[in-house]
Amino acid sequence: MKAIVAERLTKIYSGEKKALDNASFELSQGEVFGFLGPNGAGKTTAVKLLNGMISPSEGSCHVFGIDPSSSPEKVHAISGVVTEHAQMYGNLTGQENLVFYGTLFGIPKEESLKRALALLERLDLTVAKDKKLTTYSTGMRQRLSLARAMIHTPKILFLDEPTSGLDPESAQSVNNMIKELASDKGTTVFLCTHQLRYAQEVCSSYGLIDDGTLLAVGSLDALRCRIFSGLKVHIKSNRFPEGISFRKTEGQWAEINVQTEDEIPPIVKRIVDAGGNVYEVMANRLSLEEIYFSLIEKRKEQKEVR
Amino acid sequence: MRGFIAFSKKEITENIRNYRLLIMLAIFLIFGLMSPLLAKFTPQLMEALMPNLAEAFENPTALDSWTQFYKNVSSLGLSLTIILFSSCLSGEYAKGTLTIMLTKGLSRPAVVLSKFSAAAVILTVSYWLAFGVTYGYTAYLWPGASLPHVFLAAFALWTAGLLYLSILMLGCVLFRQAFTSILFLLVVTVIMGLVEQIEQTAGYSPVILVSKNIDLLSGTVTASYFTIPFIVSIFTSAALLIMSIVVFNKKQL
Repeated sequence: MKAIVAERLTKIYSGEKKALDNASFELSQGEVFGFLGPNGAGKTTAVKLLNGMISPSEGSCHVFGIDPSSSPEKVHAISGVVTEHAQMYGNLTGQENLVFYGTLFGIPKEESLKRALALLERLDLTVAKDKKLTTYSTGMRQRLSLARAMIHTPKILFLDEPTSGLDPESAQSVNNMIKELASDKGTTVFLCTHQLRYAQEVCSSYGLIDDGTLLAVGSLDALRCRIFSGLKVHIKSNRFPEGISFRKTEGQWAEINVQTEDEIPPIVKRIVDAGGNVYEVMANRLSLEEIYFSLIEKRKEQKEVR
Repeated sequence: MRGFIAFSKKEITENIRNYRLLIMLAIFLIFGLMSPLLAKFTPQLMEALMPNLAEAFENPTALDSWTQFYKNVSSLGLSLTIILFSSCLSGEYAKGTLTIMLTKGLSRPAVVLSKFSAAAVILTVSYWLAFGVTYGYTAYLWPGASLPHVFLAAFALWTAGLLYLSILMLGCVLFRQAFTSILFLLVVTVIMGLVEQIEQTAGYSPVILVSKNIDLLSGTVTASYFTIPFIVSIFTSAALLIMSIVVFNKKQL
């Protein structure tokens, strides 16, 4: 069974423009899906729709076969949500917060405590478990929020900017945990972020969204195929012979597009044969960031043509 | 029920941690201790400060002690309670803490009832503790003094206190700001006061529980005079709580 199926999902807030327009995508169990776009692109609206907090204006969505708009409580029972702000109780300790939420989610107190302690340890919060939340840093609160989302061992996690405000060490710890959850426990992760480089580290598939429109969905390789599936080769040389198609970038650097790695040595050989010195050679595939901006550019062009 | 118990426990823990319980206990205890003392030593104080008026305060009685107690509790005590609990929901609105719990199955009635229950328990403990201290101290300072309806008078003010809490709860559900909730309570109190001023409705106003309970001790009014205000207060409190739940069920968080 698919973890998420969204078909032509559309949300129009009263009298306003479409917050989400005709979005269709599917997620398999255990996938870490990056839902990427700038602020106001429609990411949070999608999370709210998938959690049944709001109903779609058109289209439909299902989470593990459950329709969130008709059975939100069933979706909530199998899902965990982490938002940008921790939204927990400042006067309770970290452990008390977790046990409280665990009990609220229907887990017996002893079991809640057991799970809370295990999660606190996993997220490096054991030292602070008996301290009031008011003394926690932003990073600690965010990690505790993640622990809360996981206390009832959900099948799917919705994470909205989970590493926002975290120091690199905390961010790394959260990232590792997300990856482990997906690979070891088969938890599906729906991760909303505008940090594309961060997403590329963590996610296995992506949905790129802008202004409510889903621009593309798929794995990084699939997305590359939509723009340019080959390699961008950067060569630093004092001479580029005629016949090689290149684009000068900075100083002695030039960029050459190739389809496969095998094309690189003959290019270098031609430069050397022509009397040039090759100082450095770098080959990169398109990054998620480059793909995203290419898609945005394409969309702009299409709009202008219309 | 599970949600109600878990949320109520959280409420009590929070009220301990944010010192609400401590403040309530301390202030009410001070009222309990000070009221008999003030009554007992008022003649000496008056003689030292205003010798011309000292004669009027000679020979204080147990009734003076209780009068002092009810004046303190009905004015300062209840005001403090209202101020302390006026932010019970506004804090949750501001921090967005309720949304995640409500999406996880916590029922909205459980939120309202837990908030009310926690406030009611704290008021009850503080109030009856103060009452017990005043009772003991009065018996010690005026041995052998006997007043009618001591417990009924105390029960009257406690019932009124719970009524004020239920009005406040509706205010908290209706408005996001603590200040507006207090304003709402003041408006309702003024209306209840007006009801007491109209001859035809005077006997129905719950305000009687606050304004006339001392008359029970002095024997100016009989216990039966309180029957209708008691019934009106209990039903009004229940109706206000139901209204709070209905409004909260429809409220967008």
